[in-house]
Amino acid sequence: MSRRTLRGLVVLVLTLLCCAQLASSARAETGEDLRSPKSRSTRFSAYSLPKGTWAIEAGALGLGNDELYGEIGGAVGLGAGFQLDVNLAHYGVGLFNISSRWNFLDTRHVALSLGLSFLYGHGDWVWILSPLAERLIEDTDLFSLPVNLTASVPVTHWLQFDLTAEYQYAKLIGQLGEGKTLYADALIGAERFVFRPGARFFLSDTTALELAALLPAFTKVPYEGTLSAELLGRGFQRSGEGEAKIAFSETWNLEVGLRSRFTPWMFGSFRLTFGPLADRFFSAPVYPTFSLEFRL
Amino acid sequence: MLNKAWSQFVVMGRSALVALALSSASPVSAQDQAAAAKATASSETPSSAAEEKRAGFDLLASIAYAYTTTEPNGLKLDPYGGYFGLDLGYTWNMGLRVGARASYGLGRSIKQTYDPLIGASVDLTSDAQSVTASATVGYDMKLHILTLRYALGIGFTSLHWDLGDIPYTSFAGYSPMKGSMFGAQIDPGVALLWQRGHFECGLGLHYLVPFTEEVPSALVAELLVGTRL
Repeated sequence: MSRRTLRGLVVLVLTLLCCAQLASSARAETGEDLRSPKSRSTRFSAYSLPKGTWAIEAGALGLGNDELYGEIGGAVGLGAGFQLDVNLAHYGVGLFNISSRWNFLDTRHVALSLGLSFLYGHGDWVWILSPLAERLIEDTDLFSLPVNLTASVPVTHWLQFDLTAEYQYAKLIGQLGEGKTLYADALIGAERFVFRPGARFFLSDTTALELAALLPAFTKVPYEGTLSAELLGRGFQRSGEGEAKIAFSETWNLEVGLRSRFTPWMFGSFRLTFGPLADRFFSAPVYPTFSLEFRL
Repeated sequence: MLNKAWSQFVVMGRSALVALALSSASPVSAQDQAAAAKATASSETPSSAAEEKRAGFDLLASIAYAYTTTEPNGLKLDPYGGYFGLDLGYTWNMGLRVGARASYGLGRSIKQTYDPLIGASVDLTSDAQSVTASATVGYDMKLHILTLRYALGIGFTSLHWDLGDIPYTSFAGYSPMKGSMFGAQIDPGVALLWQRGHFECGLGLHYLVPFTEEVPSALVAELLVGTRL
């Protein structure tokens, strides 16, 4: 490590320590901050909402499983660390989903939770895609089942680390497409195992800088049946069983964002996501997400 | 290049450290402690006193660079580039801010070879400019000595393009080869402002998300200077 690099790191650490000092003095005035049970973020963290607390969230342009393209969500804390979430915006376009979480360990130094989600979509009910894509999937059914384990570690008053390990299993059943351009009468699956490390810097009692990465260990697309595709004279045909692997370089992403508590019951966030997933969904290497959350 | 970027980061880090050290030193003065005690005694919280100062109009001028992030139908078109604008808004005590902003993008010319899905490739130079206008709703928060402003704009972009003398009536979704169009858009963003008296300045970041495919998206990084009225 060069001397210049070392100096830079020392400056960075001292800067963050100054932030910490300011954050802790601000918190002392109010006794409430973004790490308190009523205010802390449940997104990518192990925490769940307190019993009887409702969270209503509206956002747009998201990239995650539960917030892709948009979110009008509701979540409720059921007590004993249990929480249920639904994204009604996805219901509106024909994708039915429910997520549950159990925050089974919540101590001062570490919190752990288990999450289980379920999504079902019938191709014919999905109306938001282009006419060609809608026609392609109209005879299919999609099931998705992500399971995750999340740990949150508040290291200091101003810094928290999160780590999620998630396995997602999805299956597309039915006839995909028609004619010779694209045809599949097959079971097409998707399996992936991802790690999602993250860090939150509590810049004040009301604002946190949040960093997160999506790092897939593997993404596989197993299939069983008959697949054929043809475009500009180039053809592809497979029958039987097989498996396609999607490279890490196609599936990672990074995000950086800010989350603030506007009032004791209203929160706002703005995030930027970088990486090939943003490119895949929005045709841009970087894309924004914003949301407003009400806790009642 | 990496060394240069790193040394810039070190300089920025040092500046931030000095600013934070100064800001953290000031609250412990005896005068401030007395003022805080007085505020508490008069049953008025320090935060509400700070909120009172928020109310009013502010006008900001912005000098920005907008990085175009999409290529409509595979065509490189940059109607933003150097990006200049004005932002006028009113902020209530609670932090809610309603405003309007308008910007002009100088754009730039891009020489390129366009490869269509079908047919031969075409050499051309694209040139574009833009005018963007949005109504904004946002929220101002105190972040130590600074103000953190969240904002969501809803408006339109007027795009002007010139694809040169290529012999097409329609190309990559643009028709004619020199023309203009309107597209609705949203633009969420944040800004970090320093306010002193009637003066304010800061840095902002927002993202133009057009609903029209032919209008490119852009990430806008801006320097803001203005006044509180």
